[in-house]
Amino acid sequence: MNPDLTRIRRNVRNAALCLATASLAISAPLGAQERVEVGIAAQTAGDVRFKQTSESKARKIQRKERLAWGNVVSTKDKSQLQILLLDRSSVSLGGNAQMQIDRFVYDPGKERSFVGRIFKGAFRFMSGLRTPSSTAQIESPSGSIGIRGTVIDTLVGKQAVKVAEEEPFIGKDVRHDKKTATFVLLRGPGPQTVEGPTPGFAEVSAAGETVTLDDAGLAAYIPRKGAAPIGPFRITAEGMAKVQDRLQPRVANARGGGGILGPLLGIIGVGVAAILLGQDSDGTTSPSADVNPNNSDTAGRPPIK
Amino acid sequence: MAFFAQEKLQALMPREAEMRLRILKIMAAGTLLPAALALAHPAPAQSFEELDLLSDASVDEEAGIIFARSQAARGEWLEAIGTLERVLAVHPKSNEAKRLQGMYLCTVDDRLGGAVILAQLKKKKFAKGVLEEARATCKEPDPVVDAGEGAGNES
Repeated sequence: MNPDLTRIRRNVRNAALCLATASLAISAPLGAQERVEVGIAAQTAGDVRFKQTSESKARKIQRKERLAWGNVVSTKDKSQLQILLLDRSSVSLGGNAQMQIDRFVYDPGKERSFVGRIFKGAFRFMSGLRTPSSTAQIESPSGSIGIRGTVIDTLVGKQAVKVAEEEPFIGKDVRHDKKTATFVLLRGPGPQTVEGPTPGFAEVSAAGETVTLDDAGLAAYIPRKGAAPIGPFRITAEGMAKVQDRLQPRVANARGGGGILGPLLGIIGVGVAAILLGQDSDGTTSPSADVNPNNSDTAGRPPIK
Repeated sequence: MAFFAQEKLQALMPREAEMRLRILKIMAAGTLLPAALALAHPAPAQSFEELDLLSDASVDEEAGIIFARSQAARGEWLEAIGTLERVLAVHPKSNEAKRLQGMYLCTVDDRLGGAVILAQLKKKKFAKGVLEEARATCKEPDPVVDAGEGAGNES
């Protein structure tokens, strides 16, 4: 038999099964529903665990293990997990993180929707194959993040506070909650993407207010449950390095944690920021600098107390 | 099986075929022959078996890097970044994976994210001009990066 044909038939069958099962699950009450598998643990490093709805205790997850609706995944210190969903979207967790996959529906060529909750730690969502309708919704303890075709990094809890406290835009007079604080950073694709993926955006909502992130490097911060999001603001190079290290703790550990690199990254940030703001090689600044969201005079920052 | 894979390769672009052939050789040398054969013919991952293959492709450092390059060559930048994330989770000292990760982030316009990663790398770990070219892609100011060279404790 033609191996190509066999593979195509198997794919179509699997996709149809996935959709059929997902439809069944939507119409059935939680608890009575079938297990709806949505992706795999594509890579694990360190101590990574997951708990199914039917289990009372979390167990270690193996690479290529199937993940389903309702599964709660968690990582210990210096551990990492990457989940690949059926549409090749990826969900990555850094160390000391925990999240739940609430729902994922994928109809190849038509739509994809993902709904998940992050309880703590560092999390990255990266959109996969393009469909006419691709949405993702991430709930955190203090707000929600709507994602449209993009790469978004999110920190929740202590990790969010540690990054936010050092961001000049946030300031020192903000009351943080180390359990519910949420830091959201749009990574790309931006408007200057060379080719391939189209730029996306994210909406960070809390306390009835929404902040839109529509350019790579823009961030928003919800300091606690019940507070409105702060932003958008452009993250510093130091902040970016911290987010990166939270998402890839094993790389940070192998490097030695960063050490004196931090201050140097701050200097690099100034240079990169100058480029992003449109500073020309002769030192003059283009009009685009006027729209710098990191300029506290021009940003529409909500009152935070 | 081998004939099947070769037939697929001939249908691909020469550069891509060359990269895939290298993946085949590396993976076949280990225990990942089925994954290598499947990767010779890329297809949208819409089944769990295909996701398994994507996972297998990033277990080995060199194979993972080559696979990420092949994804990038097809304009699948986000997938390539995802592949490199998986490679780095198990090979956190891979300088080449980090360099590509930095470059691909810049390609999707995350220039600050890319520049931060590239700034943490050391020139001496690369052939002459390679890291400089990557940094130029991100357009970070060279003198500052040069000053920061080796500030980390990376081995």
